[in-house]
This record gives sequence, structure tokens and C-alpha cells, in this order.
Amino acid sequence: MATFEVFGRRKFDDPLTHVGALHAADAEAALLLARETHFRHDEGVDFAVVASDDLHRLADPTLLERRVDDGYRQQRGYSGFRDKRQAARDAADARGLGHVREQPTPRSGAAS
Amino acid sequence: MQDTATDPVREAEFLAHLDAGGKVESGDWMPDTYRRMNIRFIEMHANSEIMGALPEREWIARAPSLRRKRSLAAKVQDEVGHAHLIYRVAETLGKPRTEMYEDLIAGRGKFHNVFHYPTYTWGDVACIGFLVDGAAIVTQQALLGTSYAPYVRVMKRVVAEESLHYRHGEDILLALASGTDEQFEMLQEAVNRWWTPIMHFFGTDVPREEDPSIRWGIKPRTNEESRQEWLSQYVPKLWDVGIELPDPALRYDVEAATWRYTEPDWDELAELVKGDPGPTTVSRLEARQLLHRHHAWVHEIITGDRVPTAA
Repeated sequence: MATFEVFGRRKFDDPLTHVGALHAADAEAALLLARETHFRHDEGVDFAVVASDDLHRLADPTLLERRVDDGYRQQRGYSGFRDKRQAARDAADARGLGHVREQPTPRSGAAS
Repeated sequence: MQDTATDPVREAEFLAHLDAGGKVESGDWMPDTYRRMNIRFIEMHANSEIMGALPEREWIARAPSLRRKRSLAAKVQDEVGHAHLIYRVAETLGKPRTEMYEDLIAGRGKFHNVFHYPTYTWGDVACIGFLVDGAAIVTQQALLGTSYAPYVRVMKRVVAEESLHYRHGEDILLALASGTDEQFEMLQEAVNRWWTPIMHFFGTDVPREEDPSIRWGIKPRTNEESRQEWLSQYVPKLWDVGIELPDPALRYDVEAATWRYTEPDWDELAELVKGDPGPTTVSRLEARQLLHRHHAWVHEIITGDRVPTAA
């Protein structure tokens, strides 16, 4: 007997996600068992098994640590947009370009 | 080997499956036309991610601050990452990745019109980051409804990363818009340069029933629907900060709930993507070829293969 890891996809656009493990004689038997143990209640649209020995895990978790502040890679690195937009609007007004925004847009259409 | 024979009965069943909103997995039977059109579309998308990283890469060394330099470098890395994810999807349809790379560097591979243009100032970086990327986000969001399931799964991840790029672009644009008169002018001039390429980006207004990409479940939305969506999202943001657009006919028709604009010169687009490549296309492809040659040793070490370097 070998150990197999079971992966399933709930909807067609989901990634394969680990749902459990089981013992089976071979891959074919593992697929049958996975169907019975994990997917007998419409839990997904697709599943797969892989021999646990063939699954290689990250050996060094420090690889996931952040060495420096890399907020610029994430949404939180960009903030204060309300103030920045207001500053740009004020600048446009100061340049005498405030009239440019006085044109119909889908938003003004919805408001009327 | 998959059965790709053209079988009119199976093809009719396949189209009915698509019409009912059905999805297609890589191992499923599919008509040749569907496979061919998807490869062409997805390969062009992947090529565009690679070629789109190049104009921004040109500005990493010239970015105005360390913060901008790092965010631009991170964004270029994201775009190249998208290219790899998307090339992988095209591979599941049967075209080897090496063949796609070779076609691209030899100038046979197609990529989006917007990456054929030069960049002159930091204002161009703002336009690429906000307006061009914005156009890409509009079309990529529509692709979440495409019929080829492996493509949908990859696009979910790509679209999530694009929302960061949107912030990055808006941040640069707002900094220029609220800066000195010189910075504002720099932005206005760049917007003038990018207007036509962006109008071209969405393609001609092909009616839904005449667009083969829609018939075959590749594009869920028409070109004009995507263009209107972009105009609705981005034009008001530009007007809001005093940026004007270089089309005097541009206006939102409230009655018809439609943007009116001057039809761009479509011959110019045809010339750009099909005719003689312009100087920027040539220099960008040369940059791509150079990188390919310079990095060949890395490929060799990692894969143990010889990398064909002849362009």
C-alpha cells in the first residue's frame, strides 16, 4: 500500500486544492477511493491523486520571509488616494482647468 | 494524440455546449478551429505581456525615485510572470513554448499594438501604467468569461495582480497631475500621444454575430463593448484632474448612454501590426533577442538543453 494525496476542484475556475490523503494499492485504486471518501456529495467537478512520495514540500520556510519592506508589491504600498485625487483636482482648478470635468459622464447621466 | 479531425456533427454539439455556457478542458475533444483560434489569441496575449514589460523596463534606470524604481521593477517582474502563466495555457493546446519564443524573437509572433510605440518621458510611464494597463484590465476581466477553463483559472490570478498595477499607475498619474506646470504638461502631452493607440487597442467595432472570436467562445464581449467600458472608467478620471483628450468629438451621449468619438484611422493600425515594423518594434525585438541570447546560459544550466539563439 502507498499513501496518496487527494486534490479537488470545487468549481471549474478554482485551483486544485488539497483535500486529504488515503492509502491505496495504486493510482487507479486511489482515484476510486478518493471518489468515495471525498467526492460523493457533489464536492467538486474534478479531482486528482498524487503519490505522497512524489510531493516535495518547501524545506526552508525562511524562503517565504520578507527580507526588506516590499509594500510596493502590494496594495497597501499605495494609499491616501482620496487626498491625492483631491490635490490633483485642486491643482487643475488652480491652473484654470476645472471646467474640463464639467462634461457629461455615465455618472452624471445616472444622476439626472 | 487527441482526435482533432473535423467532424461536423461533433462540431455542432461542441458549439451548442459553448452556447449553453459550457467550458472546455485541455484534454477534451475540440474542433481544429477552436484550438487554432485559442492558440493564436492566447499566444498573442502571452507575447504582449513579455513585450509590454519592455517599455516599462526601459524606465527602471530612469525612474525619479528609489520607490518608483522598485515598484516599476516589481511590476515588470509581475508582467513577465503573467507571460509564463499564459504561455503555459497556450502549451496545453499543443504549441510548444520554445516555438512560441522563437516566433516572437524572429518577429513572426504578434503582440498588442500599444507595445510598438516609443516612450519619451515619465508621462508615458504614467499613461502605460494607468491608461494602457487599464485597457488591458478591461479586456482581461472580460476573459474571466472565456470558455477555455485553464485560461480562466490563470486569468483569475492575473486580474488580481493587475489591481495592484492599477494603483501603481494611478499613483504616478496623480503625482504628475498635482505637480508643477511642467509635470502637468508632460502628462498632457503623453495622454495626447497614447489616445489613438488606446482607441486602436480594442479593435474595430465588429457586431457580436460577425465576430468569430465570440462565436467560438473566446471573447465574451465585443470590441466596442470593451472600448465603451474603458471610456466610462478612465475618461472621467482624466477630466477630473484637468487632462483633456485630443479628440474634439469625444463626448458622453447621456440620452443614448454611449460615448461618441472620432473613428481612429484603422489603416494606421493595420500598417503597424501587419506591415513593415516601425523603428520601436525593431528595437524592442532586438532587446528581446539580446536578452534571449544573454540568458541562454541560464536556460542551459537549468534545463540541460541547448537554447536556439539564432533569431
